[in-house]
Amino acid sequence: MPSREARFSVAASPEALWRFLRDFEALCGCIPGVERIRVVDPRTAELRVKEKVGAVPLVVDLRAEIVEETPPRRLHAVAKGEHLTMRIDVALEASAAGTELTSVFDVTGTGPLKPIVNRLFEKRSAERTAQFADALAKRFSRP
Amino acid sequence: MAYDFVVVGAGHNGLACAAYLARGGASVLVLERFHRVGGACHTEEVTLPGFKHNVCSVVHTHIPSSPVYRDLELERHGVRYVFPEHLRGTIFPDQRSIVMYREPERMAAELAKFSARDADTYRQLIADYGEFVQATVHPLMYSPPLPPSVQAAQLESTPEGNLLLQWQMSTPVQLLDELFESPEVKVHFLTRLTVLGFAPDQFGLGWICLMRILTGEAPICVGGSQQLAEGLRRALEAHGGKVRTGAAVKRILLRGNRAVGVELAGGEKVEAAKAVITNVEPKKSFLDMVGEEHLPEAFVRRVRRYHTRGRSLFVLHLALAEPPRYRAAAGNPPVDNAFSQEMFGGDVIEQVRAYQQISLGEAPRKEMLQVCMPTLHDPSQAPPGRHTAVVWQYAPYRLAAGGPEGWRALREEYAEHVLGLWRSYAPNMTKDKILAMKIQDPTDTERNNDNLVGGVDVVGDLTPDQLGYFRPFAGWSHYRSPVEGLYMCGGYCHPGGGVHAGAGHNAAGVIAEDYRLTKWWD
Repeated sequence: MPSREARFSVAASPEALWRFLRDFEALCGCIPGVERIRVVDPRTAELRVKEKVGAVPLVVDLRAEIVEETPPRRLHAVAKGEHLTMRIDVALEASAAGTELTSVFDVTGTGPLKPIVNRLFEKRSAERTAQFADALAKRFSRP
Repeated sequence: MAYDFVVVGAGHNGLACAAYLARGGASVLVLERFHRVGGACHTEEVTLPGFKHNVCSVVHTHIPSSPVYRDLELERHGVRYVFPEHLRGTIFPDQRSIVMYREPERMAAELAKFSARDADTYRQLIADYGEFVQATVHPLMYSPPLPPSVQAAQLESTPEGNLLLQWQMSTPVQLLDELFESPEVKVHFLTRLTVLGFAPDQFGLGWICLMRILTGEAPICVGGSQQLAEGLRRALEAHGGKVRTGAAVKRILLRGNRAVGVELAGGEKVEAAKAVITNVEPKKSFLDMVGEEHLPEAFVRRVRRYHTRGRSLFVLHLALAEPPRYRAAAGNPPVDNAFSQEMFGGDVIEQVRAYQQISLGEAPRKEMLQVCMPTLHDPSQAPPGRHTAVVWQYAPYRLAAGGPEGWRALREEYAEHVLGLWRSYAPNMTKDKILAMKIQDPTDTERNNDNLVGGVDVVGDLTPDQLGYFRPFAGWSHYRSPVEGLYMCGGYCHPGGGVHAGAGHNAAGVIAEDYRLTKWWD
């Protein structure tokens, strides 16, 4: 199962960052490729993610659910789509700069597209994780 | 003695499948009727001592970057590749040429000699589709084929995907006409496709044409193609698997609708506790070894219609005193150093016409020539300072005059004709430079390896009705068969003929799932 861990600092307190992470609409504004979001309930949302591979867009519809949470420190979510399942673990820890955020993404392709999903995740995850970190950093550096 | 799995045929797919299963802890026996392993990975001194000729496959485009090479640790088992800097040279009748490079900018510079617009188009194609092809080609090859509906559903939801779907439906010539303006650039890219056996004017091959435009590689197995098979054998044996050569399988034994073993030509029976896996082409596997009386009628119909009517090759194996020196090298010196040189006329219509002639049983009189020079890059395949060449001319298996047997009367004259065509491009290839020659007409190709029915070196035509989800038959592209415990793993399965071990790898995956074996490589 391809997985990717990322760790970066955000200039905000764990509480402020937690409030942001728990606001699906705000959070999805920082996730690269999210085109559409529909909040189903406070723990569930449906997303449409578009990943462009060169000129070819791949569109994935996901249903994301927060499975477990320990505010404002830990969150475990699962997003499922027709061809993949993504498990996300986020941990927040107070630091001198604000908050140290650690996230682990495990993506498993399912069904006939499994090998393609896995290959794409391998190729793209580092770049997308960096974009996510960058977006969060920008969001919290605003006055 | 009983084994968990008995594999019929020690071609590279059979060996790869067996090696995966053996490393997973199964007891595996591979049976091979010839006295060597490898099938189309066949290197032999067919002309003079010390000259190692690759009788069928010469280049293994996908192997070094494949999961098979990595998973089975083939490098540790002695399989090494060299990667020529100059991949191919397409030489036109006016002695201009295009050398093929794996690096997009070098490739674009070659194309720009003929058309700046085509070079820009190529760069744009790389930008738009290069990553897509890189990201999908191996996952698609090294996994069971996608149902067409899944593929279409992904693509039809966006305009860009719809364009790809339309391209996929087109013929290679249509796609090249849409993309490029220079006749020579089109010939170069079309040749990348037809050398694999794909027809230039076949609908439904556009996407494969695009893949071939965007990818380029020519890895040569050090010591000859046979060394890949020997490495696979070592990988199998390292995990307790066994190979028996000189052991022809006569029948696949059934108990009810279950394969339980095989019977050899001498009457010996070998039991398979779990399954029999056949690497032998479908007509022999199912109509001869199983027997159609044991199979559903609808399946028998699919087996009977499996076709091998495409173009074959007329082959000359040459022992050379020196390598060819092409006239074209005066304007483009790397032509002489390329792994292969290709001479297919100056316009795509010539390849279309050649395929039409071949379908009518006529051996083309114009050059439809690919000449491979492995010894330029791997000197171990010939004595010091000497070279081998393999000359391929597109040809029919069945001649209008005399059918396959007609080659007996034609082969000597045609060999001289083909050499004459080649000499018009490489004038130093005079008789004194050719130390020895072995003619291999399409019927010899089949005799050397009877999986290559009709001399079709990709184990059945690569046409849209026999590709992907439809290979070998609609509804049976998942390596299973209607007989329980009987699996398919040959080049007649997805992803098709050619040396990439995709079918062996994929069959092992399906079998591991069916028998709940550890899929240690996943």
